[in-house]
Amino acid sequence: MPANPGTQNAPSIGTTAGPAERPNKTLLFVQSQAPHGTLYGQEGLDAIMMGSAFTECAVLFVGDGIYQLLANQDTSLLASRNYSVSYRALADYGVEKLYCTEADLQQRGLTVADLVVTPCVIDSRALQALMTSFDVILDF
Amino acid sequence: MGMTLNCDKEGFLRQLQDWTPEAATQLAANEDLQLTQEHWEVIYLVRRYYQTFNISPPTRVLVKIVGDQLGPTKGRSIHLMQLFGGKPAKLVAKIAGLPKPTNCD
Amino acid sequence: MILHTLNKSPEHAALGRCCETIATGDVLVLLEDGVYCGSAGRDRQVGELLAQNIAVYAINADVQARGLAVRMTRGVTLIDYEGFVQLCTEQASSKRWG
Repeated sequence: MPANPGTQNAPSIGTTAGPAERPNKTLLFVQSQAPHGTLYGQEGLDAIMMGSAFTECAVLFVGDGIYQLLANQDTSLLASRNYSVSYRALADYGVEKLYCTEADLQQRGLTVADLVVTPCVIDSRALQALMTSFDVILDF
Repeated sequence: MGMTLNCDKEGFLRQLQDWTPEAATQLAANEDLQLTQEHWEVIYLVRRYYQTFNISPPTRVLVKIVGDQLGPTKGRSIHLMQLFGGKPAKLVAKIAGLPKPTNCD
Repeated sequence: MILHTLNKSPEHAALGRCCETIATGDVLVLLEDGVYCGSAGRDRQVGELLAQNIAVYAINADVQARGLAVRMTRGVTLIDYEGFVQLCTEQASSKRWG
């Protein structure tokens, strides 16, 4: 990532990264797990909301992660929070960029019309470019 | 005196469905706060937000949505702090009968 | 007769292993992320089991939570936890996949 070479070796992210003039690292959160079966999705969303207070954040849904956005989830019979609708609030947190791949949608028989929000649908080449355009990738 | 509410150690209602406007008045009184129209419009806005998005908004999001929906003069942290003190998101959530915001900054 | 349970999505190898092992007369219960294996577009293997007259069930609470209520494959029977317990009592043993 040539944009800010001064930060390449710094292990920390966010406002603690160093002097004020150093830009905060940009974060790409990758959601790869289906909701409710594990806590990864929920933890990831909490981290996105936290990270958005400090720096530019985007979210990429891969594999079963796209299931987190499936509409009509009703968790009233489970001890699990329905956080799918919380993704609709991400714009209020300043997170506007959501991505998924055409292949993952197709494999699951889904279209963006089945989802609670409309992510940007990209192909595998754009996926590579997306991942290299962020300073840090955080997997959930 | 006041009504008896089922609250946790920090004074948040344990059951969302226990909330009523009377409960809000009591929850505010527990914090030495008397609710005015300006408080109520924020309380109802935050309750609607929770019902829609399943989120108790942290302060910076609270500032934004109050600004979007109640106008820019109200969508400032100084206004919300005058109404609800130094940690407005936390106190609004408490009085509105919602869970504590996960990140209050 | 064996009660098989599967709690992983088709993304995982558990589904394939289960299908290799399960026999006619056995029962399969999809639970947690396993319910995705019985949803439209991901139900190839479950469809094959149904064609072999293997009974396939899915826990309703898990189906509802994942927004799959209108996407489940015809032939997969939704059950509650009481129904699950009932199935357990009817089978000699059980095998958990996932």
